[in-house]
Amino acid sequence: MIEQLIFGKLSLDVFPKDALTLYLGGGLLFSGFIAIVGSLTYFKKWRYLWEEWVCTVDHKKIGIMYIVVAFVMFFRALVQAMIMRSQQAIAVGPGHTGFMTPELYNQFFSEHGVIMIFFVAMPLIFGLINLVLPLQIGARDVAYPYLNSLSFWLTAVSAGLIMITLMIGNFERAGWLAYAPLSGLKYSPDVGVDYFIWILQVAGVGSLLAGINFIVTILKMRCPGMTLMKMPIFVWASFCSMLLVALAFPILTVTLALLALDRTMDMHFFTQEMGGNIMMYINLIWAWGHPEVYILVLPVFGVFSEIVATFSRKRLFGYTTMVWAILSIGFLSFVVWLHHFFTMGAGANVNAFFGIMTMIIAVPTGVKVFNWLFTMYRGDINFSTPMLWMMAFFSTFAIGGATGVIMAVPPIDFQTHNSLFLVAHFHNVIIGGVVFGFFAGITYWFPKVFGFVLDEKRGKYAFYLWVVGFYVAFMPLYPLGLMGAMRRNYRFDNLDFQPYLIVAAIGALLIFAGFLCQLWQLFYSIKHRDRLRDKTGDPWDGRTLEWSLSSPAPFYNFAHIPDVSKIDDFWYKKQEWERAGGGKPQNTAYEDIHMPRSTPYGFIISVLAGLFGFSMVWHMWLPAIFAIVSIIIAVVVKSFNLDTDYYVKASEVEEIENLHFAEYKS
Amino acid sequence: MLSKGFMRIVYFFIGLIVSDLGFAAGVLTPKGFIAKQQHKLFFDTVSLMLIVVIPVVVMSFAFAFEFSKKNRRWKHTPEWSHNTLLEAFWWGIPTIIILILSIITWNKTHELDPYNKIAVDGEVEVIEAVALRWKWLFIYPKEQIATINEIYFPVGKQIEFHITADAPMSAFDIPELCGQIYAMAGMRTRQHLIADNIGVYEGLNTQLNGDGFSEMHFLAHAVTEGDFNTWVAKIKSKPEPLTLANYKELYEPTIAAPVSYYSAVPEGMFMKIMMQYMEADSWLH
Repeated sequence: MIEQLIFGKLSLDVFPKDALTLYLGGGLLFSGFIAIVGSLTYFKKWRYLWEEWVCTVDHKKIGIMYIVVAFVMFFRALVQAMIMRSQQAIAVGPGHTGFMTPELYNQFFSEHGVIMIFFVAMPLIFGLINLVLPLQIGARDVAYPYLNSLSFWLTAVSAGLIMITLMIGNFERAGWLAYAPLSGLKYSPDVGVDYFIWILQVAGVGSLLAGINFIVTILKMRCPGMTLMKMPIFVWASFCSMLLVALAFPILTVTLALLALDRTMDMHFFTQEMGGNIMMYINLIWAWGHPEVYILVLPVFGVFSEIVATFSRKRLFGYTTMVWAILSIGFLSFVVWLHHFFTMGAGANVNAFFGIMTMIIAVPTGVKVFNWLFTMYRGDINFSTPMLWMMAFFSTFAIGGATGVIMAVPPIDFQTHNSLFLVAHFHNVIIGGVVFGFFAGITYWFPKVFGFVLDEKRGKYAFYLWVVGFYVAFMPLYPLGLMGAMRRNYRFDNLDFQPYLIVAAIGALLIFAGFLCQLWQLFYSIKHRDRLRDKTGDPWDGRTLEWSLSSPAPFYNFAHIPDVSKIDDFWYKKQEWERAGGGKPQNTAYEDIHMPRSTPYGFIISVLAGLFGFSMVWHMWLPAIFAIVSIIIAVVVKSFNLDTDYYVKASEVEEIENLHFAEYKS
Repeated sequence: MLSKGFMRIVYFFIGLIVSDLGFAAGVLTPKGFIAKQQHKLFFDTVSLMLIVVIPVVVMSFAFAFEFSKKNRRWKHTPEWSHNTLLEAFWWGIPTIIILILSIITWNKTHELDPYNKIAVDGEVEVIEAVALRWKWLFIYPKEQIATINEIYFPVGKQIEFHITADAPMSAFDIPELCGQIYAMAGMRTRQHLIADNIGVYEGLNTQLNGDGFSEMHFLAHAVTEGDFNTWVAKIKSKPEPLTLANYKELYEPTIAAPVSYYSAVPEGMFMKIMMQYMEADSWLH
């Protein structure tokens, strides 16, 4: 009895039985773990890790950690993608089943989707916003630094949970959104869907808290003079995206909670029988899922707006239009969710309405593209890697956007829905839009965080491999989809599909080579960091406030809180300084700076949340109760801790600033 | 400009794609009334989209080339960032295109609503389709026969499918004849189609519904009225009828089930399968 309460369904049978997962996945996971623990011990970095990173509330460090998590997960999901592409390229024709079973293949694509959206794209967004946004609005940190640390660790812990699904038990096999009733107890009795639910519950709370944090940061922490209509576009785009997070993520949390009740308490919200409604699940999950797409893409629009203005050395064209376009896209994103299931049999009126609403989104999006293009018009364009990503984005996004509108026509969607055409479309916008945007943004802001720029040459190799790889991997899927090849098939009978699938697999390899090139670029740049050092703090001739700081930005960000009077204030200040015949002036009247103290509670609560999730998956009721009670105690204890801030001495600030100005003047 | 050798390689690949790969299936080679219109609508929409896509792609490269730092032909205008006329233009053009597309969408969505009877004269043949794990059960209510993973119907005649599931949500699709529609337990969806040519068309489930998903295919044979009647007669002479007892066996999950026939079907079988999920104590399995 007591054993049951502690260990629940856990037993020695939960380890994987198929060789592929066991050796490849387990081997990678295990050797990665050993390498990290080993090197930390060898270099005696445990204390450093704990004090400087685990407990940190510095938004820049949290941003870096988000991006590290994103790239680790990216590697995993990319490897899975290549394995799936090889499987499909091989398993064509009657009797050919390739090297994967459907059980494994279904887990792979479910996991690939969940990881790419929740543990690659979302951490990239929060990472980039963390790195850049406080600097752009002239703030010293986010509104709630401790909450920020908690949000990150909730995401990181749930990423860890999805890693162990490979070894302990299995992941779900019902697709990345785990449609009911397939994800119900009747058709998925194993723990896979429970993992899905609890991983996303933990990560979802993290995202929601981060969203609220950034909304408050933007509304309350802007420097004097920065009215809403003087904010950089990246801030506007992030603001709108975070509003969507705050409005949409509660829907996800509730939907998954209902599914969890179905599965653990034998309730009937989303079952086929006993009055449950499977269509409700699909409606609810997309009522979150569609805004989620815009949560991902809006910050990227912001990134590109910053990049195109900086690298064209020109004001962003149509600032006001851009803001309204972002806001209208944000609003419209909530009224189009039904286009994900035109084929459910709603009447023609309903389908046509949602189809038309979907197409309307193309208007503000198109406007943004033209504004970017005309920012380039009569500019002075410098084609560094961030701008190259932007160039690739124009074409990929135009194609992806167009195929989106095409599928928004319900009668066409009856043919393309669930097909590889759809798969091509959303990879087209997510890779060609979101991922390219993040690469551009990371390259662009890298020096601000690490103090040196990334190597251009290796960056360009990576760029060309990625772009060519993208077209080779995904363009064949469009005709395939029209020929009737459906998604989520682990094999096909039709031999006509094979040439396309082989080409797509080659594309996946090219993309992977691009990813490796980026790692090479990173290590090469670290090795040559002295040569690539950014002494000015403004390597791209930037326009926004973050470039007024040293690179890397000091931990307190601004020695003096800036006072701005117009859009791109820093750009015009630079012109004034130039007219005055000097560089950036040093204001030597330093004051003590009020800063938040590090705290381990974000980490502790998140680990307990992870334990809670894991216990719920395996029905380990005692550990679950222990975890939830501990979380409550931790929150209470933390709230009694009044020593949450301290002052950085003016002399220390002066020392740091003097170092920067000495380097700046040289 | 490009070398001859390079162009030869390009021609080779274009030739390869056109001749060998061939767009051999799906909505690209429509053989039915509905699919033909979907095919046309697809290419109409693609052309409308190209009105925006081509200028964007061309402009992005042209601007990149013209206004690159190396090219000094144009005067740099760092402050030029607003022009009401231009902005009105690119709010306006996409709006007009979307307006045109919206009208087309509204009309075509109503016209091609899978629930609507296609406006042609003549009788309608009803076929009831039940998605099981992982096979299709087809019931011909008028002929009182049933099949697994195979249908025959007369070419040129309007066919009305009634679709349900006794499985996780699935979807019914014959790409060359019509689009897909979900099959859901306890519910009935509909699909109408007319095959214009005699032929054998691939039908499939397009919605992930478990491990046998990839093997859930059937063949749809559009044949002459005479051949159809012969086929019905052939099935009528088969030994085994579908009964409530062997439905229980049928319900059990199987992967790649072979084609099989039932010479008779209990009255209102489709309704019984559907109502299991709606009425108390009506389980067939």
